[in-house]
Amino acid sequence: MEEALVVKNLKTQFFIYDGVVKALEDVTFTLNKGEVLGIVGETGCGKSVTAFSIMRLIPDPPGRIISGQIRMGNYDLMRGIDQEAEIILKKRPKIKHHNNVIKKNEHFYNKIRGRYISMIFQEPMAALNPVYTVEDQIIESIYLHSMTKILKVIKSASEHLPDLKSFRESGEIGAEFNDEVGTELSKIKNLKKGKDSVEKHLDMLIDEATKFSEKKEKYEELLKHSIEIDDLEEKLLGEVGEQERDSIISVLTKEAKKTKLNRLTKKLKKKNPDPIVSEARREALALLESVNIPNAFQILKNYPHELSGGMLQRVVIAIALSNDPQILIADEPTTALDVTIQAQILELLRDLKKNRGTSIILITHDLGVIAEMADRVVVMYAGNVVETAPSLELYHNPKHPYTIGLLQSIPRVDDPTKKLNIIRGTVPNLITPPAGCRFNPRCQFAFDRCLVEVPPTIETSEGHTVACHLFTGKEVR
Amino acid sequence: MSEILLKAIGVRKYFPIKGGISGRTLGYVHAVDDVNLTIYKGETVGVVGESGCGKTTLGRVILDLIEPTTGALFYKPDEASVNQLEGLYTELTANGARELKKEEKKILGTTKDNIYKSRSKRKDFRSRVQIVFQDPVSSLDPRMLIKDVIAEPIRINGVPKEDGTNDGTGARVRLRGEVANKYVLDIVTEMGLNEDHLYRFPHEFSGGQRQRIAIARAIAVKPEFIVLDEPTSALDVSVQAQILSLLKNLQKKYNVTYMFITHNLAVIRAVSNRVIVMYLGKIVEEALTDELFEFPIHPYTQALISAIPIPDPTFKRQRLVLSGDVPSPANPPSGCRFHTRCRFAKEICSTEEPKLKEIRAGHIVACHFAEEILKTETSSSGIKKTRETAK
Repeated sequence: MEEALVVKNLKTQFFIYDGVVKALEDVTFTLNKGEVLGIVGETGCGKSVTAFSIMRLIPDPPGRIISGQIRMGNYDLMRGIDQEAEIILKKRPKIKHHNNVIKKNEHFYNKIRGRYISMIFQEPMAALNPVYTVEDQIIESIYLHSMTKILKVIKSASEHLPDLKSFRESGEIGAEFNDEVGTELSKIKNLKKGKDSVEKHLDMLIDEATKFSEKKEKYEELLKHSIEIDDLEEKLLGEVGEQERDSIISVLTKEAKKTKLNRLTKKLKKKNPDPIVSEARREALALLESVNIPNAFQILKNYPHELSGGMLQRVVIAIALSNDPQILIADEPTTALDVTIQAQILELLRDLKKNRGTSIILITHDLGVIAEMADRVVVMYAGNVVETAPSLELYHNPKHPYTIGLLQSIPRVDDPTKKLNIIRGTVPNLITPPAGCRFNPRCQFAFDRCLVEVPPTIETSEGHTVACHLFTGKEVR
Repeated sequence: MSEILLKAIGVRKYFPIKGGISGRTLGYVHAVDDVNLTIYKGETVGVVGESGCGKTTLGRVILDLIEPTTGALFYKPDEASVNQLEGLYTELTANGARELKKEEKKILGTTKDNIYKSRSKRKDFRSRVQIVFQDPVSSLDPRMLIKDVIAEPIRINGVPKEDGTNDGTGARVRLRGEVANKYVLDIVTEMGLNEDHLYRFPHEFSGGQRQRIAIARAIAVKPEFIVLDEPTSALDVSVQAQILSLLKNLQKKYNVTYMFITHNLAVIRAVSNRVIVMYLGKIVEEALTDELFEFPIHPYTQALISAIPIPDPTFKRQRLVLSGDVPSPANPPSGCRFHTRCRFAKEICSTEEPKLKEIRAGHIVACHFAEEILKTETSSSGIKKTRETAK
């Protein structure tokens, strides 16, 4: 199976007043293409820190990725991390130089975040900005990453203008085209949201196409420029020399200054928006419809506080999906929601995996959700991966005492006679974690070796690895 | 049937929505709407429902923490007076809530066991019931030592005298000084904490420990009845298991009655004897736990049960995903409140409100099509039956 994301020996620490919080000690796992990988564990075992490390969203200070590798396809996502650490670890970093290096890395990472890897955050209310409308926040992400696509769609729409008009009259999308507008049209068709929605989309497309034809030269120019920028970005993601990289970054920095996002809100408020804004809005509408939001066109104009928790979570998911990411990290997407709403959101994620082939990392502490969704499961404890297995194998043949304890501590609806088993104690303080196996103070099988020696990861059967001294077998690492 | 501990009749709680410059009342949030509830001694009643369905409000009304708009609360009532009142309420309800409120005062004055009858009666009632709140962070005073947190209720309400029985009639004694300290230490040890913990502040504890402290505070006065308002929803599964087993042990030891409010059906199944399902301020289904999980009848209960994620990847079942959100309780749908999301909804559902009726022994449902659903559908939506078909 092809690997979408490889995380190896990831180590993240937080340097705070009380000492060093060793949040991630040695995290290794692989996410395959098109699968759902579940990460489970108690609060404070490093699930979210793993996600934030992959997204490079660890606030620095106090946190820092110390070492490790994260690769997505051919892209090395840990690029420049050593350089950054070196500068910060020097006693007196030269602020100016320091800023430059970090800015360069940020540029690289801004292209990854939201475009290739995106994230659904735990608290939808906190993830959205309360002073901007839903529309604003979805379009922002489309604007940043998909400018070329927007322009291409408008251009091809202008080429098919008479066809679009005839579709509008009949209220049905008849023929299929092989260009950008064709794929958009088939997307609208697949949404199956009824005649009103189709007409709305067609109206907007026709409007854009007419405006495009009026100022053809200007938009052609924009498209050309946008493609150039895209090429540069593509280059930056691959392996480039130091000098070439600097020159690309200087071009991109100028470009970033030009597309000021704070003007976006003003543009959105105009009665007669330019075609780029209106196409981005149409895309936002299609996104909201694809996550099953009823009345999507009105919801676009709403502020986050006007929506319920389930709706907000859908909006957050829509934003995460806005650029068709290859990898989606869902950090406790349903924890704040009711069971019935949770069922809706899970259904949505399942469709996503099926229809778009997105690889999903699902972080949760609910083993029930994992059982329903995940193909493979990673169990984490106190900053370490303690067990990895396909989900069937994990639920029927758990190996690590912690996994066994977790599975036995869930009240079962399907089997109420099952006695609840308790894991003694709580997750240790990670400033002074226990020596040896970090689980040893709570483990009922702990023996003297556990107290001193960190257990190696052992492969007990194919695809099932466990880090525990109780098992012997081939050492994986 | 065992002894009735608490009886609530015709409970309604409407919260006014204030708005505008003058602060006029624009409408009412119908948090709890015409609920009759009986709690028997020694049992655990589970109350489930989505957020905003009025579970917490009901819990607070039952403890007399908030006064209901209409309705009465009886503590250890005698059957005759309750039956009489129940009849009167059913008659009056037909005239609407406003009429009911007018007549209510007259009726309540004549019945005994009603806890609103006098101030002293109310105070006495409150000393025999307790609550454990959902969020252990905000329910403990950050400036009080744990010792004081637990000692406060026994200083104010006292504990039953040692020789007296804990049936609500025995005299209570207020503890102070050394005796109180000793008493607090005993309670805390029982909760799995130690003496050191007594001289710390709430912020020094983890979520699970704080919840233990909150339970210690509730159990300190040896109450007869405790409302547990989502006591484990802020906790990890491993800690949740610890708290649930602690609660079970306490119930055995002190013979205390629980009302367990939660949205987690798996927890409900593990702890309760009887389950009440609420939707938008109304009780829609009520049955013994096993009965409810094996033969859910109300479409809402069926959907709730089918939405529980089960930690077993081989477990396959028919999934009934409800569309949409819970409607606003300020403007609940007409007729059956669930009809906007119901898959069986017909015309009658939007016009006529279904009454609670007994469909099977001890199984009460408010649905127009309960009998038909029972005949055709239930066998495929209950947890136990699906398990068999899955095999």
